[in-house]
Amino acid sequence: MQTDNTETVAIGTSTLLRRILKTSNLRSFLDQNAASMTVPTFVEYLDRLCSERNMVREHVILRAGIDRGFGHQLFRGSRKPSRDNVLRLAIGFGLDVEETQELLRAARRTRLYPRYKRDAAIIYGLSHHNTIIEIQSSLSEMGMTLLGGERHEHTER
Amino acid sequence: MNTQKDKLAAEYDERRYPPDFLARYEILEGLSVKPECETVYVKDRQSGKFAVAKCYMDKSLLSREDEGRILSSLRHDGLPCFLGEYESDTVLCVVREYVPGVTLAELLEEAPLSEPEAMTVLLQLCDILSYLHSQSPPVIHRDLKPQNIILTDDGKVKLIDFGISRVYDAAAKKDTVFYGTQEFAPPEQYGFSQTDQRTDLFSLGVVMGYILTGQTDLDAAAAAIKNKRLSRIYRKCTDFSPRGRYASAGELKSALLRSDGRRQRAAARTLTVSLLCILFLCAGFAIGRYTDVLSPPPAGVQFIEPLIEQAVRLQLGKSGDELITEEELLSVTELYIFGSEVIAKTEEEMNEISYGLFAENRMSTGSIKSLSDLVMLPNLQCVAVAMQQVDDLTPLASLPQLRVIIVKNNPIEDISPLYGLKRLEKLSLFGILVSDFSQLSSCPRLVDLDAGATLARTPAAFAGLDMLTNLNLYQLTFDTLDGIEQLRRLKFIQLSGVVDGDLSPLLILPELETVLLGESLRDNAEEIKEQAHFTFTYE
Repeated sequence: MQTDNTETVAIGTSTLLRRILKTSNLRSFLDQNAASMTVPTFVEYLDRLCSERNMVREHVILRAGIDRGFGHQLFRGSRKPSRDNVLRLAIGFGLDVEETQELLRAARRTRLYPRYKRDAAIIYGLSHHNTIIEIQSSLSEMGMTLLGGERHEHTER
Repeated sequence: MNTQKDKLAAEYDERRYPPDFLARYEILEGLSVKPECETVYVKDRQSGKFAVAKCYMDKSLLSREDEGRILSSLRHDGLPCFLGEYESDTVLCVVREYVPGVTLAELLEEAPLSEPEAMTVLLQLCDILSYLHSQSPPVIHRDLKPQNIILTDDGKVKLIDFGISRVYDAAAKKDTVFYGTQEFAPPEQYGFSQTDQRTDLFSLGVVMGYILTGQTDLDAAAAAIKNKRLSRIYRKCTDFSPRGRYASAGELKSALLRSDGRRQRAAARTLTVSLLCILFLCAGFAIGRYTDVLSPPPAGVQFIEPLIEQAVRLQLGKSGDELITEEELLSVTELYIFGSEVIAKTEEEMNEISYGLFAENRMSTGSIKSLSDLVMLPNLQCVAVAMQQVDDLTPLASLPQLRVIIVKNNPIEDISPLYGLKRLEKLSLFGILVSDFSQLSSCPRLVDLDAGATLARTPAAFAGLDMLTNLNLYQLTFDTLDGIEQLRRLKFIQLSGVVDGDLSPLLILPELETVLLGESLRDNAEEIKEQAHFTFTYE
């Protein structure tokens, strides 16, 4: 997938940001990273994550605890995921907090805020690479709504 | 593990929110998080229902109270229901119904709407704006844009986000601060003159262009709208000068309806065909007697007090045998009951009928003993339950929206449930069995109090109520007026008697305009008349 000089596999925003800070020549930076700077669709983003992490869809869906049929619809783009389901996919991929925020952004869902109790619990689970079962049970222990417990695919901003 | 969890729990900061808000709702998501205002998606812990709360983190901000006050007084299919308001020392959270669906902005990302689709949305928006603008005073939304327009799953349009709405103040010349979203805001919203309903019509025009062409640039959109009539309507909506625009949403709606005769005829045809289908279907079910299988009877709300039920039915326009749902109760904001017979739609109507009955000596005590039915009406703002058998006001304590309470002529001995009602402006306690009203100073907006025929004997009974402008003490005799000077904002006072006959303390009240006295005080009034800056009248 890679050639010697330019990457065809795009990279995450945080990586990109690190490179901007390090680069000494803006023009060559912009040329080299052109592919990374277009905003990918959510489906493209999921595929990119699969190939970067060498994971297959089936595996991610299983680890996300999402229904198989529904999971494949998400990967195909025939269904748009709710915020909770984006979070489950993040757990399925084993993403850390920053990467999860990027996935949420790609899915055009709101970010995690540590100031809210439920978000804080999810952030804790992500940063400790907990499994979906571990995260769900700690949410349940603390009397909070489980992931997937928000019924609406809502879009209000 | 657990200690780490505890550490994290200490990092999050939900304590800023009002405790009763957190007790009722779980915060699921921050929809829009700004230092001054957070919009959060929440879940009712008990009912499991979803809602949206707008939390003003610093209550002193200008528009903070508008959203709650505006929403709570409105009821329209195209607007979210107001669910409640929670307050701490610094934070105010206004909770409204969550509206499931997609925003117009999201829908348009995929493709512009076809002309008939656009028309359906625009006509509904005209109806919503007509409703808002017909309020007295008119409510101007001021932030009409695709992100605030939601299309529900059943194809209805709802308008959300009243954060910057204002009630149009005809006296104000100019809006001082710019609110709104630039592309959709008209020139006057930048401070040229005060915004009125034509402001919303300008934004609706821009939305129209955006729906049809995906453009917000006025000239580009006008050129891209293919239908010439629609293009003309668009230009008129977005005229630089408010005077060049449509005067009302109704006028715009008529113009839109006229813009395509063929569509109207086609719609009429479709409607006729659908009605016929429904008719045949119903006939079929009736013949097959399947109708009772189709829908189980919906559960209705039960009332304890028949008079309160009657008053609610009058407000909702429901006859005696129709079911009333909990949701419908959300739209009840006023109830007026006086004695055993008078149930009115407005306070004026109630007073007029009662006056007639008193004059003919036909007024009799009503049957209401308990106010607990009122708890089912969380949006109640004005309530009159006069001349009944009520002795317990506790249910009123859970209705923070109340602005007007009339509970005169009831055997009430305790008014402490009214303490702390933040929105209470007018209170009538005539004839109740209470001697001290000073604790009502915990109601910061209370300006009009009727405490006639109560057990108060001196102005000390009203100590601390220095925000009062009207004090009605008909059929009440004070021992002395000493201490009345504390009520320095009084404009009007009615008083039937003063034992020591000295009216001079009234002279100290700087804003006093009218004093209404019992006939027995006429001579005493004559003594100080020359020095008085107000007028005396007599009962």
